[in-house]
Amino acid sequence: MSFREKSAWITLISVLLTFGAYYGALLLGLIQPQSMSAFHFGLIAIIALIILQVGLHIIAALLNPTDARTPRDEREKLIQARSHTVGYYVMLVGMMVTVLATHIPSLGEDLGLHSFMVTVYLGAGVMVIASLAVAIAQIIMFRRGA
Amino acid sequence: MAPKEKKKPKGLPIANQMRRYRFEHGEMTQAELGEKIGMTRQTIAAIEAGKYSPSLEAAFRIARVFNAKLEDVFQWTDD
Repeated sequence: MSFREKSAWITLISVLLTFGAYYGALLLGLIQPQSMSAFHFGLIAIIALIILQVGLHIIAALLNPTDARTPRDEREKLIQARSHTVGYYVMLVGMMVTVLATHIPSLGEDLGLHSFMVTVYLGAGVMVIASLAVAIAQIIMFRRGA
Repeated sequence: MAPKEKKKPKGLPIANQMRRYRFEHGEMTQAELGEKIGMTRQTIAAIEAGKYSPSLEAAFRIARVFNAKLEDVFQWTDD
């Protein structure tokens, strides 16, 4: 497995762990979405994501330093470009859903949220899903060849 | 014993003789070939397996490593 593929796996796993735990706790009611603790847990999730990403990338680079130092070749650049196109479309659709959801007054009331908070949670969730889509697309393309 | 010729993989219309050429050049490894032309071993493996079509520049670089003509290493297969 190349360093770039490992990097995609690291992104997938670290985002799933951190934001999966965050949104899981929100959905299970362990964190009150309207409270400051939700904001603090959100910050913790972001910091945990950065620490996990940096730490795991350092470990992956130490395991195969030559591979990690090698610049991306044309196939890896192509995979990167294609995966970000996938992520762009996921983000585009997600943002449209977020804008539409913000204009459904009953949605916020049903969730007990101010419409601004609906936008924040959905918007952040869309970014998380888009980054997962990029990582998954990269893994699939690395496995398939391109 | 020389390695068997690879069949043309489904989907891509380009076949290649890279495995044979590597064998004929001192059993050069995929990693060694990749190092010579600035590609990863995984990309060389993908090209050899017909899963990825290299750019024209990369194809020329590969042919140059083997001191061969481009069309001797890569062939367009219509059918």
